Amino acid sequence: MGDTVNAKSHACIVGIGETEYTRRGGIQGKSELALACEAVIKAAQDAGISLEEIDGLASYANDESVPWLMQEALGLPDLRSATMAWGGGGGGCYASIAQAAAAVESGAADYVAVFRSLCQGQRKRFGQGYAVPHSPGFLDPFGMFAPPFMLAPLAQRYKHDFGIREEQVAEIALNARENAARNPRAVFKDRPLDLETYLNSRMVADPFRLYDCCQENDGACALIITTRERARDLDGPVIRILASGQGSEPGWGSGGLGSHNMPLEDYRAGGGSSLSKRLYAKAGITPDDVDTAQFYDHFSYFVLMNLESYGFCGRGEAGDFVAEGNIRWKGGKLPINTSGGHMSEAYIHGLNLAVEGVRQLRGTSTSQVTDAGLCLLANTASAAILGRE
Amino acid sequence: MSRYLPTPPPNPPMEAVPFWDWCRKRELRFQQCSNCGRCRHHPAPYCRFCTSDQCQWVPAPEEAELFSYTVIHNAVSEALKAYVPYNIAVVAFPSLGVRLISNVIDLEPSELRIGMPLRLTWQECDDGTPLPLFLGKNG
Ligand SMILES: [Zn+2]
Repeated sequence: MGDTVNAKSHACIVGIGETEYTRRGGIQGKSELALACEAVIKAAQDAGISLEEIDGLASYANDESVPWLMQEALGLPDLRSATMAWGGGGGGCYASIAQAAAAVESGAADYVAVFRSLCQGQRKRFGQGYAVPHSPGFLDPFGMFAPPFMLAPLAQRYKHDFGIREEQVAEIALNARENAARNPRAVFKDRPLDLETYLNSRMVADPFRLYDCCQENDGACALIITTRERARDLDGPVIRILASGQGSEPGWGSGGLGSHNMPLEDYRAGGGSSLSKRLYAKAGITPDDVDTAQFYDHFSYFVLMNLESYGFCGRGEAGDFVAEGNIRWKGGKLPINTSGGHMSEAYIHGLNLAVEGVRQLRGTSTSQVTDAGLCLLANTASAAILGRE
Repeated sequence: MSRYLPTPPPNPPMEAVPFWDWCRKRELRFQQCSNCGRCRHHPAPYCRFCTSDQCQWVPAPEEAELFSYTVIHNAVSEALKAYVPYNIAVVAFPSLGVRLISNVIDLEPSELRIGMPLRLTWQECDDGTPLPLFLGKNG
C-alpha cells in the first residue's frame, strides 16, 4: 500500500450512530433535523468524543438538515468545514465520505460527522414522481416520472443482452431478506421472502418487480471521521478508509436521469467500471482481497451490474455468480448486504450500508463474515474501500 | 387515436428550445456539430467531441429502432391511473448516433422487443406541442 495510506493523517471512521429505522411515515413527532442530530450525537458517543470536537459536517442528496441549523442544534462551537456532494440521488453517498476524508487529511477539519436524515412521511418522497431538477427536459413528456422508471430501461437492456433470468435476479432480494432476519434493526426482519413470492410479485416498471426495488424509510445515521493519528488516541476500534471517491463514466450525464444516450457499454455497467479501477489501485488491493461488500441496492439489477464492474465476475456473468450462492452469508465467496441492505434493513440512501461495513470490520455484524478485513461500499456514482486497522 | 399519456408539456432548458420549436412544425431534428458533423442529444452548448459551439439541426429519419424500454404499471398520479400499463421507449437512430426517450403507442407490453423497427408519428400534448412518438406495427 502507498505512503498516503499509512500516513498519520490518513482518514479513519471512529464512530457510528443510527436512529431507529421505520417504514416511510413511521416516525412522527420528530423532525428530520432532530433525527440527523440524534444520529450524530450517537456517533460521537460511539467514538468517545464530545460534540464540541466536531468541526466538520458532510452530507449528500441535498439533505435538508443544513449545516447552520445543525451547528445551532448541536452547539458546535467551531464548524470549519461543511460539504455537500452534488446530486439529488443517493449516488453521492460515498462521495460525502470522500469529502470528509479529504477535510481531515488536509487539516480543514479534525472530526467530520457524515450524516443522512430522512423523514419522508413529513415531506416529498424520494422514490416517487417528480420532475428531475437539472434534467434536459426529455423525461416528463413521455411519462418518465420516478427513479424506477428512469433506471428500468438500463436494466432491461442489461437483462436482454446477457440473458439474465428472473430466478437469478431474485437472489439479490432473497439474500437481503435472509440477512435482515438476523438483524434487529431491519424493518423487514420478520417478513421472510421466498422465490415463489418474488416471481409472483407485481411489476412496478418492467423488469423491476416490487421486490427488485428498495423500501422507502424514515431514519438517520451518521459516521465520525478523523485522522489515523487522532483515531489511535481514542478507545474504540479504528476503521481505515483505504480509498473513497466519486465519478461515473462521462455518459452518465445522459444516463438514466438524462436522455439515455450513454454508450452501450456504460449503459449496462451500473456506473462503477472506471471508479472501481481507480479505488482498487488507490487501496492497493484486488477484488479477490475483498471479504464483504455492501452494494447500493436501490434496484436489484444494479447490484448485478456492479458485481461485474467491481470485478467479482466478468461482464454479463453476475446472474450465474449470484445463482451459485456466492453472495450469501452462509458459504458465499463474497457475502453482500449483510444487514439486509436497502431492500430489507432500510433505505437511508447508502449511509446505513456504510455503517454496516464498519460493523463488519469491527466484528459486530449480525451476519458477521469471519475475520472480515476489507469491505467495499459501492453505488452507481461513488464508492469506498474500508479496512480493519 | 386518443392521447397515449396525459403528461405535462415540455419545459426545456435553453439548449433544448430549438428541438421543441422544430417539433411544433412536426419535424424531428437533432443537434449536429457544424465543425465535426457528429450529432448529439440531449442538446448541449458545446460539442463534446471538438468543443465547437456552432451547430445546425438535422432531420431524423422516420425509421428508428427500439434500444430499450420499460413498461410502467405504477401510476404516480390519479390522472395516470387509467393509462397504466404504458411503455417508455428508448428509441435509437443508428445513422445519427443518438437516442430519444419516447413511447410506442400502438403495441401491447408483450409485443415490445429490443431491436424492433419503429416509425415516427406525432401526438399533441396539453399545450398543443406535438410530441414525437412511435409506431411498432409494420414499422
Ligand atoms: Zn464537433
